[in-house]
Amino acid sequence: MPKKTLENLTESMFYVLMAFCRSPMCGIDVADFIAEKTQGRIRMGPATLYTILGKFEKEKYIREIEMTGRKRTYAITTEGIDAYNVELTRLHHCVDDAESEV
Amino acid sequence: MNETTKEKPKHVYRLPPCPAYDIEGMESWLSDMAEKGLSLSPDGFFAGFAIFEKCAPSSARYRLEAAPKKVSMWAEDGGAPDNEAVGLNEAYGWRYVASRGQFYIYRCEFTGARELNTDPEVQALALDMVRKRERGNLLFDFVLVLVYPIAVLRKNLLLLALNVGTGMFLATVVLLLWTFSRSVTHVVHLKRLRKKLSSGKAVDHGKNWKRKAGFHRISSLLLILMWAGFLLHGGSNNIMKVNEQLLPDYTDTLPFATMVDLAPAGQFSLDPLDFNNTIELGSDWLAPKIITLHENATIKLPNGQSLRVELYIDYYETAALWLAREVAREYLSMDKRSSHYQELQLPDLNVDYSFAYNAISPTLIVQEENKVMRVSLYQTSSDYNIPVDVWVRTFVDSIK
Repeated sequence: MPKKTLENLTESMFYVLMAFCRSPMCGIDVADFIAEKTQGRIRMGPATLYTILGKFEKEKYIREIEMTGRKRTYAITTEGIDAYNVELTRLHHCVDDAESEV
Repeated sequence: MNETTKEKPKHVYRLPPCPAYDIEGMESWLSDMAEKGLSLSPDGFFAGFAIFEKCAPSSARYRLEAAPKKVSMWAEDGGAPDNEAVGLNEAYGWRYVASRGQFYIYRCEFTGARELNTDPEVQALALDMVRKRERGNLLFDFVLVLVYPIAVLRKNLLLLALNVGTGMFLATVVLLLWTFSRSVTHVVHLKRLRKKLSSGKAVDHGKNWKRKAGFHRISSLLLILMWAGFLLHGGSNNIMKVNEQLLPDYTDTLPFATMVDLAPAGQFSLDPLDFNNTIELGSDWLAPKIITLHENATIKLPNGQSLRVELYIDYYETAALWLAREVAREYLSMDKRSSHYQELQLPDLNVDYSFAYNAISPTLIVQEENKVMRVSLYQTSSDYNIPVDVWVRTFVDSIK
């Protein structure tokens, strides 16, 4: 049976991919990006972030490009960009559907 | 306080009120202990007990994080958390303390610090890795506790019980089934928790851990004591051979024939090596008298010929007739698996049951009422050997 990939990204996952779309980052940079982007609405927990990074690396959405001490820097891959775009399209559809009812 | 005069914190041991996989219970309990001035020590847990350090009461929060790799003393680096995870968590005020089971325990002293896990669905993914490992362990336990004993030992269960002691045997069965049922509960609990997290519901950090605390503590303590007793009892009996003594030191009359009865007119001398001549006496609910004899001797016959014989006897007086027959049947079934097995013809011995065969050495199984005996006689003389039907009759007659 083929390995099951992430079917839907959660909000946290989506924002993590969004961060990597801007530039390669380490975990703390990602958390800071999300806090800034959402104006503090999402304060991602470090364990949540670490689990997402591990999962994304396994799914080849990101890859490690540098390690300094305990800090690892990751960059998004083509698969990661594709996953981000699929989720973005899905969200656009959701918003369009919602707005059509207002 | 001066660094050199700083005292080591005083340790306090407590039995956890819930198992390692009960994330909600453990988090609530550890946080409650911190309020009482007991902070989990970096030494973590020992022999089922949590080790705390006495400190000022605090409102520290504890969180359990599913370990993405196997935590075990056999694993590489013991399964310690990844440096990146520890660094990331520390950056947000969460310090790694210790691990319990397949979970890392983090503590946070800062009230304003963000939660360790903020997305239940992502936490479910982390929990999934532990759940899959535990499912694998359950399968291993299933084979070890149920499939293996049924497949291999089922034909010799009574002999096994008599040799290790029926009480010990039953305690072992209970212990194994109990351990297995805990593994099942473990996997079921993780499955439920994963389902809850996947549906977007967060972990309850204030769970009432006291509800099942008494039951869990008593059952854990019993399990620890039973395992300790099991290991100590088994180890001491095997290593010390507490019931075994040297044959020359045994003065009571035996209820069966021995080598001296094979040639009463001969000159009998035991092998000088002590470990070749031993007797072990035992007693069990199912067989009040159990004797295992190992005799190695030379008999010089009046005609100048000599007999060199090695004798092994397992003798049981069982509590019921059917048990004696079952012991005989199990011995035969066990020896039939030998590649050297070859049936020997016996004359009518006028006993309840008798059977003889070659299995490395000629062996006799004989049962009369509640007495059953297996005799193996290995003869190495070059000038004379006692014929099988002769020595068989000597042993059969001795238990009639």
